[in-house]
Formats: sequence, C-alpha cells, structure tokens
Amino acid sequence: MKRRALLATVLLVWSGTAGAAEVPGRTADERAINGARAYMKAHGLTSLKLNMLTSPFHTKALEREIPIFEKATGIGLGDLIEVGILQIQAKAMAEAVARSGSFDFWVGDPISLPDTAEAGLARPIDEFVARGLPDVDDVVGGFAEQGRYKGKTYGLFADGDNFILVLRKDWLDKPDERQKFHAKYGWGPGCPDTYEQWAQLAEFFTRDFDGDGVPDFYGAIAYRARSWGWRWWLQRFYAKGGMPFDDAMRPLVAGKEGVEALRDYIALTRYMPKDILGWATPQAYPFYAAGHAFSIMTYPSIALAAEHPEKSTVRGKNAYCLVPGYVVNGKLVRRSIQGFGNIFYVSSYGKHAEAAYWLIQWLTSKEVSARLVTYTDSVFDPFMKSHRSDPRIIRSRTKEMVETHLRNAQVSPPLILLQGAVEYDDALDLNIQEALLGRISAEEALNRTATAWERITDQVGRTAQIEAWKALRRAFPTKNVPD
Amino acid sequence: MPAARRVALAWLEREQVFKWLPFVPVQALLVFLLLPFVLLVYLSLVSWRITRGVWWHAPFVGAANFTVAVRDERFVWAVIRTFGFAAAAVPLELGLGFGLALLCRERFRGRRFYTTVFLLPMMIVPAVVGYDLSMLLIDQGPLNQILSLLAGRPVTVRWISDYRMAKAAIVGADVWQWTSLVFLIVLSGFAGLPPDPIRAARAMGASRWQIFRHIELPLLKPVLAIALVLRSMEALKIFDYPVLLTEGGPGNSTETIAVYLWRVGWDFTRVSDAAAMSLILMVVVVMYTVIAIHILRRERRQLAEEAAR
Repeated sequence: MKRRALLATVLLVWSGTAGAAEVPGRTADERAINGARAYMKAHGLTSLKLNMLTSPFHTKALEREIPIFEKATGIGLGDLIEVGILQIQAKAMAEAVARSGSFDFWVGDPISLPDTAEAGLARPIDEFVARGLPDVDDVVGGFAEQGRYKGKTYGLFADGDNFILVLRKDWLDKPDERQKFHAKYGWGPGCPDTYEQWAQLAEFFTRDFDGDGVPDFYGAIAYRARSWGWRWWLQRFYAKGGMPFDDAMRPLVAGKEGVEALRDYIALTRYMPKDILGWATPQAYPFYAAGHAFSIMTYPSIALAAEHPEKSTVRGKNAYCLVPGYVVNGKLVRRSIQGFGNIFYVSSYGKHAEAAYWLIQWLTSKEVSARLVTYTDSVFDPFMKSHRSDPRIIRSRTKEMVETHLRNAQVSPPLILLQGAVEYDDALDLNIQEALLGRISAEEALNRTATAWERITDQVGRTAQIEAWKALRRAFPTKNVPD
Repeated sequence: MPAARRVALAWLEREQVFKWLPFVPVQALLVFLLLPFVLLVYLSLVSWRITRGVWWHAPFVGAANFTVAVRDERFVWAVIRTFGFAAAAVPLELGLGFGLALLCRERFRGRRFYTTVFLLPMMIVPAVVGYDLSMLLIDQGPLNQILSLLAGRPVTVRWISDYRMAKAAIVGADVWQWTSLVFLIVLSGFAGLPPDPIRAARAMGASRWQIFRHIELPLLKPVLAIALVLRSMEALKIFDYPVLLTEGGPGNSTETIAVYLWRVGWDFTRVSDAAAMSLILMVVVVMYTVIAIHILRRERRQLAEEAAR
C-alpha cells in the first residue's frame, strides 16, 4: 500500500514537472504551434474549432490569420460572435452568469479585466505563460501590465491604443501661413508641446472659406461622444499631474487639476464641428481623411485612414506628433493615454482553455502581431518594440507615425482598471457631457463624479479597491516626456 | 394485459385524475413562465453583483434594493423620459399609420406597391436602423443636406448632439420604423369592416365624411385600441435607437429605462439593483396595461350595445 502511494506521488510530481516544462521552439509563435500540436496529440484530436467573441474592428485580420494557425495545428476558428466594441463587457458579463462556454477566447479592453476576472470568466493563464514564454518582453511601456490583475496574468496584450496627435503638414508648410501664425502667437507652427499651443493651432487654422458663419475647415477633432469623451479628459488630467484616487480611494478628480483640465477640454470644442458631442471613430476618421480638419487627437489607427491609398485625400500630408502636455512645476509632462487597447483573454468556461491560449500566444507573437497590425481593414495598433522597424507596418502607417506612436507609448498611463471600472467611467463621462452641454459647471461635474465614485467604491468594497489601486499604480509611467 | 398496465389504466380512468390531466401542460407552461419571474423577485431581495460569487450565496437584504432604486435620480429620470418618448412617439405613429391606411384602403393603381413600401421599415432590424441613422443624422449628413436644399439655405440641425434634438431624433426613429405596424393593423381593420351598415348609410344618403365619422371610426375603435396598447408597450421598452444613435447621450438626454437597466445589470454588474428596478417598472407597465385593457373592453361593450339597439 505504502509502495503504491509512493509511486503515485512520484508520478504526480513527474507529471507536474513535465506539465510546467517550457515548450520547445525558437520563437513565441513556434512555441505556440508546438504547444498546440502537443495539446492536440495529448487529447487525441486532429481538428478543433474554437469560438471567439470580438468587435467587428478586429474580425477581418483574425479571419485571415487564424486559418494559418489551423493549417499548422488543426486548431481553427469556429463560431465568431461579433458585438459592438462598447458591448463586449455586457456580453462577457452575460457569459460569466450563463457559463455556457459559448466562446473560448475573446478580444476585449483592459477596462473589463477586473470585472471579468472577479466574475470568474477571465481565466488566469500564468501556467501557460510559464511554458510558452510569449513575447511579453517586447511589449512597450506598461502595456503588458494591463493584462495582469491582482498579481495574475489574465490576457496577452494585442493593441497599442495610446493616443496620437496628427496635424496637416501641408498647411504647416505654407510659408504665408507660417509667417502669419508666428506673427500672432510668437512661435513657428508645428507639433505642439503643450495643450495651450494645440489650442492656438486649432484657433488659427479654423477657416470659414465661404463666410457663412460655419467653418469649412476645423482646427481640431477629438471625441466628445457619450461613452468616449471622458478618455480625452482623463489624458489631460494625468498630464496635469492628477491622479484619480488617493491611497484610501478617496476621489481626487474634483481638485484644481481636474477642473482646469475640464475647462480646457471644453474650450477646445469651439474649434470642432458643432455636433462633436455625437462623434467617435465612425464620424471622425472619414472626416479627417476627407481633409475637413487641421488636426485630430485620436487612436493610432487614424494613420490607416489618413494614409489610405484610395480613400484618403490627405495621404502623405500628415505630421504625427507626440501628444502635448502641461507644464507642471516648471516641467513639461506629456501623457498619451491608453484610450482603449485590446487584450486576448481565455474564457474559464470554454472546453479547451489551453488550446485557446496557444492560439492567442501565436496571435500576439512578434511575427503574427506585426501582420495583424499591418492589415488596413482592422484596427490592431503597434505595441511591440519590434514593430518600430517592421517594413510592412511602416508601409501601411509611415515610419514617422510608428516611431512617434511608440514614443508616445513610453508615457502612456492606463485607464481606471479597477473592479467596477465601467461604472466609474460612466459616471465621469455623464458629468463631463453635462458640463460640455453647459448644463452644469466644470466644478459641479467633477464634484458629482467624486460623489458617484465614493458610492461605487463603497458598493464594491473599499478595502479590496485600495489593494487593486495600489497594484495599478505600478502601470503608470514614471517619465515626464518620452526619450 | 399485464397487471401494471391495468392498474395504470384504472388510475387514469378515475374521474379526479382525468379531470386534471388535460391541464398538466398548462400548469407546466405556467411554471415555465413563472420561473424567471420568481428568480427576478429573489434577486431583487438579495445583494448580488456578478463579480461576487454565485447568486444563491448572496445575502438577503429585503427591500433595500428597492429603496436604492427609487432614490436613484438617474433611474427616476429614465422612467419619466421613457414615458415621455412613448407619449410623443405613439400618437404620431397612430396618426400617421391611420392616415396611410386611410389612403391605401381602397383599390387604386399601384396600391400594392405603396402598401409594400409603407410596410418595409417594420421589416428592418432596429439595430440596423439605429446604425444607419447615426450616419445620416450628423451635421454634414444627408438629412441636413436635404433640409438645406428644401429651405434654399444652409440648415444645420444638431440631431444627435443637442440635448433636445437628440430626443426628437430618437422619437423620429421610432416613428419611422413603427408607423408601419399601426398602418398594418388599421389596414386590416378597414378590410374587416362589415359592409352592410356602410351600404345602408350610403343608401340613406349619408356623405363619405358622415359614414367615416359615425360608422367606420366607431367600428375601428377596438382595432385602434389594440394598436395603442401594442405600440405603447413596445415604446416603453425602447433600447436600440438610444444605444446605437446616441449611447444614451448627449449627457443622459436619451437614456431610457431599458438602456439604464442594461447598464446597471450588465455593465455595472449590479444585478440585484437592476432586478429591483425591473420589478418597479413592471408594476408601472402592468398598471398602464390594465387601464388600457379596461378602456378596450368598455369600447367593445359600447359597440355591442349600439349594435343591439
């Protein structure tokens, strides 16, 4: 009996060690393929279809790439569940309740990580990461950290969505415009260092060619639509040196930094189309690419629209800039917020979690991610150091854009990645919109936000939130400006 | 015959058993329908978030969630706003649907074509309508361009970014899509009108207006009441257009009950709060429906009495 127990123990230890052993392969994509093949062999499978939840923004690229993985491993795409990009959280939460296993993995933003992890839907993948060694070291800035929660890894980062500022270079290069601008503001127009300079550029280049009182060329575009606009305010707030909470999770948004940032944020809208409160990507990208605006602050995938060979009228006429900042205590602080970002997560309720992991490791490897980023009909944006010099990516986005974007990433703070994040964000967004509409003052908007945030923190549980907030602070950039 | 079968048949033939047997499927259906409702009531009495373990372990909190709901200013405003949308959209749909049915009731060349066109909006998925309108209604969009052409000067209506106009856009979207349903109901009502009273009135020299006012309209009242109840109940659940057109904005100007409940339940993961809000809403809608059905019955009774006279 004793001998049997001893043998069983030895067998268990051996199998455990074997399970934790690194998968062979020179590169992360090779290891992913080998890991997937070993999984298929161990389970006696020759073909396996995995179901995926994603927004339509990513479908085409993934549908093109996953068949390549299938050819190599037998693991392919089954059902594709597409929902609107802002509805991923709701769909994921419904699955957390239903536990139906309707999808094996999904593409979602970091905001939903704390809730999906706490709800048990997002599966910790540390055991697979230890064996597969994905290309996390190549991920820039604090992006990789955004796939982690409470010390565990839940997802692999796939989309560097930190903001970029794009200006119309052809307008900046006009000698008479340069001269007039310099005469008015005292500096040569170009990429602005501060938000004040961006506002000056926006003011100067807003033009009403036909004199009907409605501009025909707008100085600035940035999103102000419901569920989107708060991100642009948060970026300014961070650049002002603001932090959303103190160590006890008491909200700090209603302080001087927040109010000033909100006033500036509201003031800039006078150089934007009058219906900017309804604008997000579907309105902003075509508008800029059609040549109706001088500048746009948005996601890096704007380059795909602006440099599109057929659809863009401004191809080759764009200057890609570091996101401007504020001067805080005599020093310039730039912040380029991770305005959305996408991560591949594995569902706890899928039948083949390990197979799903090998697929997402393959998709986020240096080589495959570069291909995903290159496609012009999907919106995966550069997020790896190796993307900087990849000729395919440079061809679709320009060298200047890729370099500027990855420099911006060095000073990219995360969104509020805490449990209840969507509710925190929604309260902020709602009050910012009310202030934009002129229904309440900037102070009132942020005071209301702070009150709502206090309630949310108490509902979720202050102690747990304090711990999560302390952990999240590690993902904030330490540099004021990029190298 | 085996003994077991004999016993079973004897049992089935007992009067008590036979009397109840046909109702078993009905009772099963009742349980099937009641189960989600019971679950909803249960969830409204406990404190559960999706992120907080399994729901059957959630602590009992009594009526606390209901107190939270009625104190939630955003919920109260969403209720008021939704009833406002319904109050604006449904009469418009009834008026337009009735008018179109009136135009299409008699045979004329191209009637089939017009009928099909008027029914088309109803056949489009509301999500598609919402998305298409979000592109049509921007400042530089086709709708403003058409308005500018008609007015002969630049017209810029801020359909989805102005606090008031966004509400109008949502009502407009609902009217555009669901006038078709009223049209269909009323057209069927016209087709089902008894010909004898109309012929008799015509023989007695009544004008078309008199026939319409004193015969057709009273006979159509039950049909109109059905259209009113159906559309009101649907309008109170309005969801697709606010989400796709405005995300409930600008501010919270187009946040309806359905949108807010969806946010609270699935985005904010506060399922128990959403359950309490749903029950409050259900009570309000049931009250409205009971009143509407009472009116419908009264109309029918009056009509029967008039026919008897």
